[in-house]
Amino acid sequence: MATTTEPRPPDRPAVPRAKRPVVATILIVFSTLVVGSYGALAYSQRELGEPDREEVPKSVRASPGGYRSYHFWHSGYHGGK
Amino acid sequence: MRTTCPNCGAPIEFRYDDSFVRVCASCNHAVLRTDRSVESLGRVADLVPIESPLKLFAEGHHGSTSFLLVGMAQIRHEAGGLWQEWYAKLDGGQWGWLAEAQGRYYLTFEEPWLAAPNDVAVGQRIEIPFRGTTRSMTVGEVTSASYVGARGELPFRLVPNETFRYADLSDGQGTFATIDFGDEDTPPKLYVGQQVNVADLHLTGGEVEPPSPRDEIKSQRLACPSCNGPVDLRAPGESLRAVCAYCNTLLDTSSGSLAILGKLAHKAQPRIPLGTTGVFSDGKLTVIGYVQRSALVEGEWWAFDEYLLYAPGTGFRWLVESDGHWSYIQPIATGAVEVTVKDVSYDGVKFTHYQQSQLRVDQVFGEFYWQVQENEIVEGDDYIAPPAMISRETTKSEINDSLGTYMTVREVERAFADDPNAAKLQIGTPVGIAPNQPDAWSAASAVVSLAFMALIVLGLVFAMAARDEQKFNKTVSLGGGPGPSTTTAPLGATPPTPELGLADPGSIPECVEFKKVYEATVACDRIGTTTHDAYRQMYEVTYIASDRDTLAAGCKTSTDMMHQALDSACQLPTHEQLAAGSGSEAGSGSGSGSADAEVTTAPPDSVFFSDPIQIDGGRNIELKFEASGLSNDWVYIAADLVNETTGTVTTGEANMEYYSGVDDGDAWSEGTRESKTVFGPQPEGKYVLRLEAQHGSSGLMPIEVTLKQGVFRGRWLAWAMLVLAVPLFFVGLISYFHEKKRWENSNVGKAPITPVALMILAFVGVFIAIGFILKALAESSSGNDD
Repeated sequence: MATTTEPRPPDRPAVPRAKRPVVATILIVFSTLVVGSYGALAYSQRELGEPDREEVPKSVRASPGGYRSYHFWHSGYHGGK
Repeated sequence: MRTTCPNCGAPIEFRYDDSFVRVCASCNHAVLRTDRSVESLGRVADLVPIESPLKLFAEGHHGSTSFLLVGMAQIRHEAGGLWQEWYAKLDGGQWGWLAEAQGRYYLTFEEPWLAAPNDVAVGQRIEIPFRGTTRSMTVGEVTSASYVGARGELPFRLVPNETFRYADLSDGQGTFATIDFGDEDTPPKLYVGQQVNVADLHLTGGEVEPPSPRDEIKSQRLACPSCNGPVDLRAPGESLRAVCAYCNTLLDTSSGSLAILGKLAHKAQPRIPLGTTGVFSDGKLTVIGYVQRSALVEGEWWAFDEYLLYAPGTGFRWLVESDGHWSYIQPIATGAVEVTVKDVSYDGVKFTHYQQSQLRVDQVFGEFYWQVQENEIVEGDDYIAPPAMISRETTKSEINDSLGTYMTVREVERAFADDPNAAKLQIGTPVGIAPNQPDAWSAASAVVSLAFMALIVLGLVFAMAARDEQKFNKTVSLGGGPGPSTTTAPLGATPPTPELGLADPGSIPECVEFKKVYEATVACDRIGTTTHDAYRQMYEVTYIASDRDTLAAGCKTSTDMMHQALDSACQLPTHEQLAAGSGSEAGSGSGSGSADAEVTTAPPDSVFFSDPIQIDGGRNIELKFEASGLSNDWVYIAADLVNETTGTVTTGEANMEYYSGVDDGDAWSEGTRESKTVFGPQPEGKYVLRLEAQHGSSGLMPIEVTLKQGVFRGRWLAWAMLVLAVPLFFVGLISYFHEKKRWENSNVGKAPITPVALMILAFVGVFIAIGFILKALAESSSGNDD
């Protein structure tokens, strides 16, 4: 649909608007990325980085107490003073 | 009606029954028609030649109504200016007044007004009747003028050189009105109409075809009566004053010839020469005049330069330079600017009062449409909304508003780029911050502020939407020091039920002995890491559920191998010792802590398996550990979520340590007794939670374990806020100092609240972000997220 602009009365010049500076454009992109990334992360409830994953073989799972004895236990010294 | 001139006898004709005066084309006498005869009102002066697109007997159109210009008069303003008034006879018989002044055109019609005031004041707002309604209009000028010249047929009694008082009003929306106060015997008359574009009148014909309003400027060269040097008038008929470039004499140009007014004290030297043409937002304009003015601010006069620009059909504009900053100035109808208590608004934009000062003319050069003179002083007010500025100049009889638009040096250079002298122009370099100079950093800080607020809102929404649903909560006792438990194969909390001929190694004496011996190798510090690893692998492949005979044989073989290899280095428990029960404590790693009724006692080898927990897909999982009994100790927890269907194991960790004491009488503590680990969404299904723990002392450690789903992650909000807070802080700071510097030169205002508010917001944001970060880091150091 075509639109028409009402002509301005004489001696009623339009107030000039400030041109958008380059730094504002950069920050618009940057801010959108930050807010968007947060929104996506919060909405999906995902975590940054994948947790360690392993597969317990079916043969192990099928055995009685199978994954109790499977070697997904953890090693090392993790604390202390 | 045909008759003869009472002065010269030349035939004259009144074409319209309702006209009053006919100017005799032969003797220039204004002939008044009365009921009985005609009489002369006196001789009008010869017309001053003024370049105009309007011609006598030209036809035009106003909307759907056509008209004929049948008469005109030249009227001299009290201040010396000259304008023309044309009298239009419309098709319906109505008279219209078409005023022409400084390139502007106003078409008005007489409006009856019984309550017309006898006087008004400049700036006063008055309700004016207009087409059956009323309209609020502002008085822009109250002054007097006199008729000096006329031609054709006139709809009123024009007495040559008679002075009359009038007021001009405008509503700022294009509606224009004039109150003619007349003389004491006649009531004031009101004329109301619109400011019009001459092109919209579609003028044709007339004594000479009207020129196009966009025609190039036509200059007129006259000789200076003082030095006989050439004086170029670039707006002949519009100019009232000109300065001779050779002898610096101020000349009166109002009569069409030059008359000496006096020598000017200072010879002006504009940086942009007169005659230079530039292209601005209103089109191509020529520099025809230069004024150096000064503003009186806090007792000091501060000079700035103004260049008068002109184009036929467009009228007059200004280019103002101050401290190397440039602004393009356009006139505004007075009523268009709304004055509030302190500031003004125009076109829906609020302008903040920036400066109030007296403005003085110091130097003039070129030609001007008003009676300019050195040391002329007016009151000036500037209101800013960068890059725009409203300037109001006030005298006793007149208010003039104008709109300034900031131009960068580059934009000024570009405007004059097509002029042959463009390369020689000295545009200069800006110094400081101009009142209407845009602040790029303000826009930038506004962007980040909005994003910051959006982030906070988003965070609040997610925080409120978090379901935080608890799926599991139990206090379990886990334990084991840092030694054997790290590599000890866990045994089930409840012995597995042998199926398919498989046996649990814990139920086979050879394997129990093998485990004890292996634990002794782990505790042995006389063998290296590689050897330890080799025996660990051997243990792992041996000590798994299998058929009883295979297990027994495998465990015995492995036990013998360890004895054979390590007896000389380590004190491994012998078969006899174990049979006697003395080796039962070796490397057990189990504690003796007791659990209360709510405590689920973990197996001695520190591993806990939950009952299957239903986990929903698409929602995160938080495991929270709380060891309220932790004191001067640490706890490490390895947590695994095992999908019962697929066998997928998702692994996480949590660390807690808490130490306290008294040093020099001061109690201290550090660390935390809580830790969390969060997993992202996992496939929906039943999961077994497997926990394995170590801590720095012996015995069991009661740990409350809570599993929740759909928890709010403040950590990510904190990081996002920090990432935005850094640029917000810096751009807010720069913007603040920009505004501070701008307002240092103001004598009526201070920097508006907005940049300061942005700064405060930035600081608050930073502090909030830091708070979040510290909290998140504290959580991170006590737990093992991700």
